[in-house]
Amino acid sequence: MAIHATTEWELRTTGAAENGGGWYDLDPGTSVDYSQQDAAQLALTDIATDGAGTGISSATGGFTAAMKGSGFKIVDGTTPGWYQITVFTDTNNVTIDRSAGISQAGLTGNVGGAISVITDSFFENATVDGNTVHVKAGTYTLTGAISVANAGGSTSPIKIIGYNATRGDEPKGDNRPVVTCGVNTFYFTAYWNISCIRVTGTATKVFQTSSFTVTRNCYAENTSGTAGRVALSVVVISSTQANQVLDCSAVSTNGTAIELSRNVLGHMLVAKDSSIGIKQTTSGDLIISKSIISDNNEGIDLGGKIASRVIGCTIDNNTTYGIDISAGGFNNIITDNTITNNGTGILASTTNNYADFNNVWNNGTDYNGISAGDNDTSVDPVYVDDANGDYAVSSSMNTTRDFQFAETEDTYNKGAVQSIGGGGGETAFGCVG
Amino acid sequence: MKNLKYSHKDFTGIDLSGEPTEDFAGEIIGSCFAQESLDSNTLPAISGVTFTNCNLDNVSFPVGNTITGGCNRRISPQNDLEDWLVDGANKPTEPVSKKIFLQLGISINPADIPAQALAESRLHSAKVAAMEVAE
Repeated sequence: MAIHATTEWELRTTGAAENGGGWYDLDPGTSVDYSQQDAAQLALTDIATDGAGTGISSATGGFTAAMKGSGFKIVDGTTPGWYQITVFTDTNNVTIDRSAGISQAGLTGNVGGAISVITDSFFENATVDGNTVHVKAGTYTLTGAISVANAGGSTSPIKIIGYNATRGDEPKGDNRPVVTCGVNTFYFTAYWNISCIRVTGTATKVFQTSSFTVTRNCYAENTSGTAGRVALSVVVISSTQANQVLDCSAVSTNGTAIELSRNVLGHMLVAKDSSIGIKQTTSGDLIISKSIISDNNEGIDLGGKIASRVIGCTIDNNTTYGIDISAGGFNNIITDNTITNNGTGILASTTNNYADFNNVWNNGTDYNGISAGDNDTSVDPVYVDDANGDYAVSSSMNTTRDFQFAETEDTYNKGAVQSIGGGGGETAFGCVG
Repeated sequence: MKNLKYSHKDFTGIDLSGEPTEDFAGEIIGSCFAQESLDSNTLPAISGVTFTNCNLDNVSFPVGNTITGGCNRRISPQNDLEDWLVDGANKPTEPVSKKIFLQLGISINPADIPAQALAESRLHSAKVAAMEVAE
């Protein structure tokens, strides 16, 4: 046996490091969720295990039928870790999901109660496919690297979901829990869905995800004084894998805000105030859409890369360039963006790229190494308040588009944010609160 | 008693040496005081304070206080552009991201750190190489 797939775990700073932390409704009408409380429901120091390691006994006792399905942290012994009560026998005896080591005595353990500390061992050894880890608002400090090789399932990913006051309340901005890493990484491999979390630190790459992981409404910041460090890094290992980064924002004052490999969809990203806003690391099938890349030294670096798409983005006030597809980059598609107030708007080194239907205006040099598209415009977007990140545009930016699969033409604004009341609809970035 | 002012907070890179010592009384839980420079004197002259599950990397920890759990490592970037734990002589001993190194088959032997600074981190290069192998 193992931890049940529908188990939900609770992390909150007011809990305790050695609490049981998890629960699933093993016996509806009887099982009680003791995970969403600060203290353990039952704390024991005289736990013994039987010859199979799954039979738990305690002379002190206090087990109840309601504890079926509860997480049970065995703190010491040969196999400390998080287990789950599967059978209630009596006040002194229960069975857990798997062996905690055979024939032991005098162990310490806690049933229920939220977990207060984020550790690699918890994600690596406790969570299984389909589990959900709820993280309540607060500051969680890493004291070791999180580098989780434990992969979720293709149809049952492991979820990490931040919340403010109530599970599922979709917090924005500073209402999201924050993981402070120091120099440690916060790294998850395949089939993890991570949402509503902030991650800060000084590591080479602070927040890292890999194949088939979905990251949504998250914020990453690298505060290192060392040049070239990355806030959010997404790497897909092979061409048959993919990753999604949705409605996320990042800052790395001396480095790269967001680093994306091939086979990544980056939608509604905000990359600003960094040395590089978004940097592509490997060629092929990167899509950056409806994103805001502003106030960086360099905007979007696709230099030397091929087959990427930058669609419907607002790229503004980047010192050296808005989009770089130079260094031999080709087969890239740049459309429906508004590219304004950059040193150079679009920098290319070959004409074998497609750039059209963009609004390119007021850059030091609008086009370098590439010509204006036949359908490009050059008008002042009249951002509502770009100094404070409001890139909604004047209705004068409207343009009509005849989409291949649309029944009728629609009216929309180029760039990431539509005008209020514009035909394209309002874009709300949750990641910036 | 839990110190509410300094518990569960992020003080990464912040110099607190000038802060009132009396504000640090009790037990400080779950905060990050990590610094990028070795042996940073970023705490005031406190005593009798317990730091529980805190990150005190590169902090010069004042005598007379207690660390329970957490970390107080000496860390410095090396020529492979990764952060390594260093000993008292500032010699690297193992990478902070040791687990990732091992997963990617990168040597964790300090002797294998390049003599010259790389243009790209060893971890990144290894991930790219893994992509190429997967192809």
